[in-house]
Amino acid sequence: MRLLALACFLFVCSAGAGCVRVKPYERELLAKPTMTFQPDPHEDVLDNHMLEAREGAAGGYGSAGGGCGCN
Amino acid sequence: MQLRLSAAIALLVATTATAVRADDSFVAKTQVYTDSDHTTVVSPLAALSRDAWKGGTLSASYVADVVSSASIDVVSNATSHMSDFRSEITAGLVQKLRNTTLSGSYVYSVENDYQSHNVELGVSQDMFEKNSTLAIGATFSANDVYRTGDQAFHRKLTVGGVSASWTQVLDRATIAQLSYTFSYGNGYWASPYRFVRIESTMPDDPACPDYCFKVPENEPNERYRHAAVIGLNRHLFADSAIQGDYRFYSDNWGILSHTVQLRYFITWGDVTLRLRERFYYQSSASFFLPHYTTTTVQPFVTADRELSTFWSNVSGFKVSWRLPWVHRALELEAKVDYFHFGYLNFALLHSRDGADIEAGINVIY
Repeated sequence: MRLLALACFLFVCSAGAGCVRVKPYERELLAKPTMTFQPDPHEDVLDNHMLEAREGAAGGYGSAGGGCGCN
Repeated sequence: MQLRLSAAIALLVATTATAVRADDSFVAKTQVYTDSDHTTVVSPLAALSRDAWKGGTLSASYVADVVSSASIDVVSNATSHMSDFRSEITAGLVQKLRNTTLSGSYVYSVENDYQSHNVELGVSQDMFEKNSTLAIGATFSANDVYRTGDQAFHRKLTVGGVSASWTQVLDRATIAQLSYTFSYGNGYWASPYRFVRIESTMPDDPACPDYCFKVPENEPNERYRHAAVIGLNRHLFADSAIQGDYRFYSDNWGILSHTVQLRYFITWGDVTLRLRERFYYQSSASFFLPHYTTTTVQPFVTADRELSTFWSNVSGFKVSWRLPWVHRALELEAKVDYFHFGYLNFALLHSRDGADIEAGINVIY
């Protein structure tokens, strides 16, 4: 079931991708640091570790480091 | 001849290393967390990254957590105050090969009553003239849980996970990302310090004036967790951008959660301002009860507010200031996030307010 869901996920993504072709010389705006999903990975590690120790949910946003942090 | 060849190879390696070592970086920052539940955590971080060979980047970082707390978790178990110190060391490697990027990292974290080893591996592939990127990854974590003052107490928790993400350029100013992570953990999830009050079913029961007895927290060993995130980045007018994402989370303990986050960036010359708003809501775990009574005692009992129904809000700003007249890539940053947690069915605490304050320096040399 999970493999099927993953296959559907990849199919939908790749089907959509075929419609969009932005050339390298058209990516001036996309190349800006603020256009990345993780502009500051070190800040994300500290933030995610703090949040995952205080919320029931976890995952989806990258690494949260290790350890408990549960006090 | 062999000596000449070795010298030539050495010269080539040295030249290549000099040529590609343009993005070595150093980051240092300190984050201070403080809340109205009498908890303060100071977290200094230092990280080094070095372009070691063609396409290869080595990184290492150190984070510490200096914890001081008299939270409701602590005082409800007849302890007035606790302090702790956690160290975390990370070593990582990234190798770029044309359109493919391989990555691996190892994290070791230790504190006086908790020790963990984490390994992460990932591969990402650029496709369709770099308009699409598929990334997949796997993680494994082995944890040892101890209890201060009890040499005999030792529990284990192992967690494995997989992730997949698709990043898609939508037009000249818009990028979208869809990601999914799944993890399975088996072992001891509870806190060795938390005990759950079992109350009488009769109010003002003379046999149990406050509560009848306490039992150690007990949570299921197995936990399956699913998280799916959809995000969108859009460049706006002037030099500004807006990022939004939504996360849906569910697990086999019955927790469902929704997270919405918006970030807005605007740059004036050497200064970038980021405004942030994050809203989070979760339902409680199926075995969580605000009060356990002698008639509702069940196999799994918890006093963990992170398993209750609650919402939280984070609002804040961050300022990054580049100083090109001091160094070509020197940047100072400062951040303040204010947060509020509202607990809807946790008997011992109704809300928690606090702030997350950070200052740091980034250098690329």
